[in-house]
Amino acid sequence: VRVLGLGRSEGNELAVVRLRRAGRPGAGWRTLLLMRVRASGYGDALRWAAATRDALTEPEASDLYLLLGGEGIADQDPEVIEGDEYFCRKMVARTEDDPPDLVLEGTFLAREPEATKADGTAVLADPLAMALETLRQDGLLNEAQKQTWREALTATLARAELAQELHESLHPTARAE
Amino acid sequence: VTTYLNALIVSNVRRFCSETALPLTGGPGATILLAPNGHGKTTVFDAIELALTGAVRRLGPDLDPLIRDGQAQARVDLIFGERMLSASVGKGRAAVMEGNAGALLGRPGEKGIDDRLRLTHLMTQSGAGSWLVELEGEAEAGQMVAALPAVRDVAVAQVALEKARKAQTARVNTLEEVAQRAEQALERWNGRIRARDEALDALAGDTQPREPTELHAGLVALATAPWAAGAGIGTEQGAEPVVAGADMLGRRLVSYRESIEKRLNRLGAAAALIDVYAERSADAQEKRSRASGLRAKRSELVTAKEAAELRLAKAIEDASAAARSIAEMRSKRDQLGELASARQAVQEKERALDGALAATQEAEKAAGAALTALREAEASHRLVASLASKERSLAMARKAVDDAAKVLPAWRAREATRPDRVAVLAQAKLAVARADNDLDVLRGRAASLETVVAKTRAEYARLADSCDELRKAVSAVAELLPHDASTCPVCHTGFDSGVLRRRIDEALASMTPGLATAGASLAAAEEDLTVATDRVSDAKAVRDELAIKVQAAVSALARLDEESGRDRAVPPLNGCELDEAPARLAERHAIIDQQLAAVRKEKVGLPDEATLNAEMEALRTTSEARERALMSSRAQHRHLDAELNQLRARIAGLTESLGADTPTLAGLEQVLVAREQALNTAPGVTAIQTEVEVATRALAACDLHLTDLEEARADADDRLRATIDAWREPGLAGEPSSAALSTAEFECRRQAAETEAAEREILSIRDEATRWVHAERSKRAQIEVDELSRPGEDEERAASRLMADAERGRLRLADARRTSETLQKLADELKSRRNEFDKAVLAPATPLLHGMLRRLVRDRRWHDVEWDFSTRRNRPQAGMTTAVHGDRHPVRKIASEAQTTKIQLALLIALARTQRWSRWPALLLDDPTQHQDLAHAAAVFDVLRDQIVDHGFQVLFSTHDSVHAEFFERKLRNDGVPCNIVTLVPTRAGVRFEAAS
Repeated sequence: VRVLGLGRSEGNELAVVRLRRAGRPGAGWRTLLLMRVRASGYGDALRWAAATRDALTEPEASDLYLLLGGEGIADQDPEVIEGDEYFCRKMVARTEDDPPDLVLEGTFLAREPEATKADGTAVLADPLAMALETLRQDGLLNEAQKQTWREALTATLARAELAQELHESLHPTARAE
Repeated sequence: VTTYLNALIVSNVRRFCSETALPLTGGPGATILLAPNGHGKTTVFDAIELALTGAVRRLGPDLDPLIRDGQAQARVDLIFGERMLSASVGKGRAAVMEGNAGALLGRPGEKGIDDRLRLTHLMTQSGAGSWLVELEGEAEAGQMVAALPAVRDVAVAQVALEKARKAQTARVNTLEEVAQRAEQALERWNGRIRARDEALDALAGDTQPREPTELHAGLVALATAPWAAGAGIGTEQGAEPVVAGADMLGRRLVSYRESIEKRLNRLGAAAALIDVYAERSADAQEKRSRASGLRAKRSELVTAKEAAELRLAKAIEDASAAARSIAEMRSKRDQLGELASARQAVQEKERALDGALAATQEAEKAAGAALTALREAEASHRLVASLASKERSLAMARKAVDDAAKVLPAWRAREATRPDRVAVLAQAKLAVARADNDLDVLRGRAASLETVVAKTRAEYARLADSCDELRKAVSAVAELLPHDASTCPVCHTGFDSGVLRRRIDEALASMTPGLATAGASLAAAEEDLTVATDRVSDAKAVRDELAIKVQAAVSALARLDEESGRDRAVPPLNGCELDEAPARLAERHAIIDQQLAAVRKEKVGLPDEATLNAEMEALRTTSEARERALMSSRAQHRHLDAELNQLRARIAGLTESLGADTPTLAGLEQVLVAREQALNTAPGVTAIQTEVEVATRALAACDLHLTDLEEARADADDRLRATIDAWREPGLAGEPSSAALSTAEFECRRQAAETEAAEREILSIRDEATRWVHAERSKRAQIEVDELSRPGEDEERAASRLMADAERGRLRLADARRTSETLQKLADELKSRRNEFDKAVLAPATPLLHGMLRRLVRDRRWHDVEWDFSTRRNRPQAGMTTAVHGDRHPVRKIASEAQTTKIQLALLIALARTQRWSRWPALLLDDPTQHQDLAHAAAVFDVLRDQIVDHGFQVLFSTHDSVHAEFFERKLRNDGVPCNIVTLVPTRAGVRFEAAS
């Protein structure tokens, strides 16, 4: 991380921070322009971003970010500013109460939640087969009945037909009746 | 071990030509497919799906559309390092797979990866089986989850189970009814057999019973007897009515005999009453005689008492008159005493009132003198204060004149600058007028230049459009020409490619000069316009500066006028002009000095103000003290006067009350003493009172004795009446006697003897009728038994059949109940397994999903989307909801296309990161930014870059937007991420992959 400058212009507080990934060969700089806009409005911020982008060379110019806050833009719609595609990507603190990390959560600086990794077994596991197997182990179904039930339950049978199929598989004598 | 895709080779798939290869990064990185719509981007993703799963979900079972027109087979090869997966499709046939994707990418021995591929790798644009599907016209994010076995099969099975459980419940209910009917039939059979046998047993006997009609006639005859008390025997002549009639007559007879027995007992008890009656009758007669004598004696006592009471009343009246006379005389004596005291008090009060009047007059004189002295002192004080005030006012006026004289030099100096300021204002106004004139001239020129530029631009555009049209027309003609001929079939002109290209170039070149000239004219006109516009801006700036100067000069003059006006308004100057001011101030100064001297002369000989104040304070104190003394004296006088008036009123009242003929106090005293002595010595009242009391006590004793005697007589009469009543209760008449009692007992015994024969007849009739009733029952039971039996079936076989039916019903019901229990157990088990899926798959991915959403979508309402599973029309549904105004709403109802796509992408990445089942970490994204502008697409690019760099994903990304593609490429390049842009180029031989320059 390089903090290139902290300053004040037309009453606005400014900071320029440049970052790049540590330990990665070829990682380029990303430039963050931070501005607390006091009075002069969004125009100054945009001119600053344009001048910075002109000063950067490609591909670094594609990694330019403008983070804004302060009462100077309080009357503007943050969605509109963030949807402005000129010069760089923009992030706006919604209110003065927004903690800085809430704004950063929308950027590449966001802290990612700890991901629980699974091997996909749960996704593939067939709950229907497992449930039928439980019934077999409890002595309610045998192997053949298990297969019959699975086919019947995943087929599109009418209500009475389905019930008859399941019942007869358990009680073969019912078929004769 | 992680593996990556090195290349994709497609042959004759859709519009792709034979053997065209898509070079891929072969490791973490991104390949960006850039092509306009309809050039085959989606086909690339279909091809990968085909090679991995042998099917393309969005196409369904018919894969023929994948085969290029005019070709018999399409083929896809995926090269992972040194291994390859292939799939080929022939017309009307299923895909033929080479290699096992499950074993290559998943675990050894695994077969299919279909569902998991769509869950963690592939995000297509639309169609069945993708993340975004059309469900009856509504796009649903996350629908893919519904296709997983954990959701799909369980949901289908749960719906089917519910149907089966309802049907089975109906079956159980039906079987319960069947079993119940069989049990009832068996029970009825047993009951009828038992009833028939019992009736046959009861019929057994030696004699033949009489016919029911004969028995009925016997009953009718019995019913006429007195003991039957008019009992009605019906006309129905069957056996059962006869039994009922016999029972009824039997009950009547028993009742009659009980009543006879009861009367005999009561007659026995009545015998003892005959002696009791004689004794009580004598006692009552003796008490009546004694009461009559006592009543005569009482009459004598009443007469004596009334005579004594008359004499006592006369004596009391006389004594009361004497006492009233004495009381009146005592009152008059008291009033005469009070009158004398009041007259003496009046004389004393009149003397005191005279003294108070003299004291008041003295006090009034003293208070008047003090008040006069105080008024004189106050007049002197007002005169001295007035002179002092006038002197202070004059001193202040002289100071104001002096202050005004000090203002004059500054005023004079400001007025001296006025001519210069007026001149500056006039010059500035003149300069502004000139600048306005210049600005108008320059604006006119700029307007005319704008017109020229517009005309030139229109001319240039027209020429450019014409050139484009011509180029397109020539190109279209060239495309239409056949490849296997060298002359035009219409005009027979040679057109080999070199000749045609040359002719086209010549045609285009002939257009170029005019276009170049028009372009140069447009550039020149635009340059002139720019110069003119700059001049207008400069002139406007100059004019604005001059206007500001005019405004400053006007403001300076206004300030001068304002300050001079303030000086002129000073009071001593009183609005005069600057040149009149000195003379006016001198004149005012002289007048003030003259008035001041007059005031000081008048003050000579007068005491100072402090001395006057002290004198006035002393005089005011004295005057107030004397005033208070006067007020006190007046109050004393008024008090005495009021008391005197009260005494005089009291004397007048007493005099009027006593009247004119009132005796003297001494005479009145003598008469009073004499009357009191006379009253005390009067005889008779006490003695008479004693006589009355003696008579009263004797009469009371007589009354008491008479009352006791009357009560004893009444008791004796009551006892006598009770004895007679007890005698008459069993129906005896007259007074108690032995003869009447014997006659009644004889009659009772005679009646009892008459009922014994009737009782025997009733019992006989009932017994015979009962035998007829059993015969009827036996017949009826046999009829029912015959009904329950089947034709040709004897009783033994029928009983066996009914028992077998009941047993079978019980068994079938038990079987159906066991099936119901098994269905319920399976439903519970499935619900449990379904919950496990939530815990194992969705719950782990949810935090990451929310983190991704915070990065991709800034609107906070999308940051906490939640899963929502349901079944609609027996189809499993999986959707997402978000909170809006405190309620949960489906995402599909409120999200835009762009937001929906981002939610899907976030979900894909979250599941890909948490479910690492595959050895190929890949994100295959078909145009995920098609609905995003560049600002929002940038968020997607940042997220994808981090997945590549931090988690080793290989990304295949398609887009039709070259700006998106290049921007994404630059971002990746900035972080050193391997990346290539590949375009899809349509050629005569089919679409080919080409690396972008």
